[in-house]
Amino acid sequence: MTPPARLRVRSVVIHAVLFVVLAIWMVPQVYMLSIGLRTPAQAFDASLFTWPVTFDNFAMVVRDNPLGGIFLNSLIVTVATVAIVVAVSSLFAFACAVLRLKGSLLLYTTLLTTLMVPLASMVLPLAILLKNFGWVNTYIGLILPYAALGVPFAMVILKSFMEDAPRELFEAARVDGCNAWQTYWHVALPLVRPALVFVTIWQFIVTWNEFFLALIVLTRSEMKTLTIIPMQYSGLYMANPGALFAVLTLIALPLILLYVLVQRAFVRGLLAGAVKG
Amino acid sequence: MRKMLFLATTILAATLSAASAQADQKEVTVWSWFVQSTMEKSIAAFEKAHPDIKVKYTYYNYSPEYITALKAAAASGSLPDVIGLQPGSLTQQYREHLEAVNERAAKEWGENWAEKIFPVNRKQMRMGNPAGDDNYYIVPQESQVLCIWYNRKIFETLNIAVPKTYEELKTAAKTLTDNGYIPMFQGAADGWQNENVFLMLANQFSPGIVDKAQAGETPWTAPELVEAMKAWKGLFDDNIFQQGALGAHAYPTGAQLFAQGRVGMMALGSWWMQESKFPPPLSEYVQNMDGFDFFHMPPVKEGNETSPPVGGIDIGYGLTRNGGQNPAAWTFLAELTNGVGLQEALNDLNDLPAFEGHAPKGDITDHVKELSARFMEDLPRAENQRFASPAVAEALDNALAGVAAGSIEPEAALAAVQAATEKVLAAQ
Amino acid sequence: MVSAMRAEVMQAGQAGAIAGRRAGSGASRLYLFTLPATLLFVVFVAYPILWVAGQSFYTRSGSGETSFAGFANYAVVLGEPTFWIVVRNMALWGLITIPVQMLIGGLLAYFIERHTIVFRGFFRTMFFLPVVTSVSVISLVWVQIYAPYYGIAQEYLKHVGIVMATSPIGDPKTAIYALIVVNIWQWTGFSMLMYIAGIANLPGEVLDAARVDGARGWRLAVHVIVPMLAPATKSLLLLGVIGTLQTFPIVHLMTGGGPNRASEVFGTFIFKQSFVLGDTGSGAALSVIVLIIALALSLLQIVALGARLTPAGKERQ
Repeated sequence: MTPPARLRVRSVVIHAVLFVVLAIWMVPQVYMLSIGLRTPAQAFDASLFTWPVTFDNFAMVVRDNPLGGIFLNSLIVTVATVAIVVAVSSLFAFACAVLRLKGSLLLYTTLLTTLMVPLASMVLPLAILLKNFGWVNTYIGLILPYAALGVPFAMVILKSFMEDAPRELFEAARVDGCNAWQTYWHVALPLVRPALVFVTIWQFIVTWNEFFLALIVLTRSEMKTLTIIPMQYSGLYMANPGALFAVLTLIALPLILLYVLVQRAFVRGLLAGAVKG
Repeated sequence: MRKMLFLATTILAATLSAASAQADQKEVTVWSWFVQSTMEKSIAAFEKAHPDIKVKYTYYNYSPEYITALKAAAASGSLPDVIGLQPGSLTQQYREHLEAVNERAAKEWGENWAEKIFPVNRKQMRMGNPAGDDNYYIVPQESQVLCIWYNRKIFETLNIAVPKTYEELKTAAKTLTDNGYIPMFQGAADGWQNENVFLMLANQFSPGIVDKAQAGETPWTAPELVEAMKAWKGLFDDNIFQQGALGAHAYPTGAQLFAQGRVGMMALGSWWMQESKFPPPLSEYVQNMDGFDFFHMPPVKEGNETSPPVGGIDIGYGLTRNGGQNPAAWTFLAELTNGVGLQEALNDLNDLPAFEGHAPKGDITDHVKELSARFMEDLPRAENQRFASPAVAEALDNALAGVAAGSIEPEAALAAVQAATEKVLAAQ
Repeated sequence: MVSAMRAEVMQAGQAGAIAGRRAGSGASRLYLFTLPATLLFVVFVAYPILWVAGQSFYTRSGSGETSFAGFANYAVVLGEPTFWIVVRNMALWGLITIPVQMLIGGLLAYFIERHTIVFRGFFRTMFFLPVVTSVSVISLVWVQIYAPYYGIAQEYLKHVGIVMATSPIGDPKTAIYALIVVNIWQWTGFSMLMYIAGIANLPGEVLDAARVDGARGWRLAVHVIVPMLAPATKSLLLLGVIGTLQTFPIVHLMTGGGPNRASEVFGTFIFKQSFVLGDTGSGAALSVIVLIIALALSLLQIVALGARLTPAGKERQ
């Protein structure tokens, strides 16, 4: 066999294997979508697909619910949290990994450790704190704790990517007369762009799906974020799981769209790295 | 920039104060796990009767959402005016944050108000109170009676009669299984449904024995309870419950399959009737409860009687200390538990009333009326369903799951429940 | 050769850092970089943890008074057999989940990034979908998949001669493993994404140099790419440990820690103690114990993997 032909065969095999793995991997996902497309009578049928499919569930949940308002609440909270987390954690990671400030490692370890405490134990003190600040039923009361809990996570990733970045670039920046802030802005951030994208996606998902804190901070129905919908609707649509699954599919859609859009940034990150390197 | 911010704040503050000045309406905040669509009807009826009061309801799933939100709000002093409660352990956890309702209730309904509540409910209202505390911290809204529902259309098609003996129950289960139905759906991953079936069994061996055991008057290792535990295991071994029951949940899976006619029997309670009032589309079985009827657990051992009804408060409400400052809160609580609010819940067939003298009205078929009347007959003689201590309930849940899984013997499992009970009693 | 080159780069980096420190004449001003994170941390993490630690020394009697209890809560918690079940389950959870996710995620990332072009975006998206799916849906779906008799797995497995008699989550012996499978399924896309970011971050010149050296295919993958993905691997390890200790919703929704506490994890145990049983004191004591375990684990990681403030870790490869 000629080398190009061998390559082609290999490529076909790899694709075939990937598709088979994906098919198995997707079973629960397909099942979820399929339940959303079922009538109540078929909802828990023991099969992956049922026929005929119905779009009634989707039509019903869109018609019956003020999804727009809830969606907006979620968006405000999530975007603000992501912005704070990315800014704050990249600053800190820069201090740890590039500036190597004395004591920053100690701080880093502390932040990291406390991140491992289950959220269930933090709920009570956070509730007291937010009540004292008068932040119950405010966006800020949700955004800042989310950010605080998200920063260490993001920091771990950014720190390790910054450490791995070619150090001569930071050195060059210094020789060029950049101060620390300029180095951070013009050198460090562009260098770790894939990691920044990753952190953004991650924080967006976590915040979008979080419900434990959301339900103690936002106690008024009109303040609710999308995350609380699963519980609202498992009560409302007890007799119709299809509708519940339809709502949940709709909630996941923005996340999927976001992901599809930004995952391309990885490719661009790769190209940028190649040019600089 | 700062000026702009200042300006914005001023405008915002002005708008807010204008809004609050305009709203001379009194507001009541309520949290519960009570079905949202039904609660909305109760609130609408209440607001019509009291146009000056606005009710804000927040729905939570019971676990983990509701109990987390409640605990966090209690710790930070931000409980709403009225909270949904279960008698016993949940009420006791929040007792310090609740107003005793005795005086308000006496003023509202007369000195003898408590006597208008069915006895099993009345007993549960004080369950777990410290010695000497005769106050009531919960006003029951609805009662329930546990039972075994069966799909009478399937039973008819397969020519199965309502089981009168354990053998007949086994035969019924076998016939159902052979014809591709789930015999009796048990969501044995949920502690509550296991407790319910065990209470049916235990009260069959000796009525009231679980109450005595949780009060420390009879050991959990008493022969009757051991027998009941063995009978519990038997329901799994004799294939009366579906295969793999231990990994299953009653809601939404079991209820859904039952409603759609895939299941022959299911141990639930009087609240099952509410399915017929859920938003459409409804199955032919659920429509007007046409497909369903109920029986009590037949004698599982020779010499036993059919299980007595077991039940009590389905849901009650408490007036928080915050709500004590808000006169409108009590007005709502009273109407919700024994007034226009309750009537709406009953019309939705949500469950049975806790106070005497109420019945569902509106669009209800004779079959549902008959079911409802039979439950109401059972209610006055029902055995207690509730536990005073969450630790004892938790220990029993674990014992039931362990025995069902075959990982622990009935005697040893009950000894663990006894140990938990002794620990709780010693702490008091 | 490659590693030698890396080492050189790292040495240069260290010099740069030292220079940087000297250059920042107002060194204290550089601490402004750490200020926002520290502030957030102190208010929303440190204070709550101190509050919890305080609570762990108090107990409430049946009649509602709070009194100082010393280490009584700790003694109670450590004396509970359930605690040791939880420790075992958490160890299993971490030891199985983390490496399996890394392996599957890494393989997927490698093949998708280096061997697909047209379908790259498609694969990246599809494998990532479980991560963005709400955990309440995932739990419902998997309970249904695991169900014997009326579930969907048995429906297809019986065609290949496998009969499911019980639900894997209903058997105390298998429940924890069944949950781990769901967890791996949900989060592998995350590991994949991390490795994709890592591969995207690989300096092109190093790969080129390796290729000139004659490293190709598996040799390139194992000897060049894997070591260079170390930062991603280390991050995943760390995040895996965090995720393990934070496990809650999947277990709560699927088994509630049962049957008979066989699948209890720290999250559900703490939740039961403080919210279901209303015992804030022992719930707090448990939280502090988790904190201590977490501290030990992070120190272990820093010691074992190197704090990455020295290039030594790299040179060994």
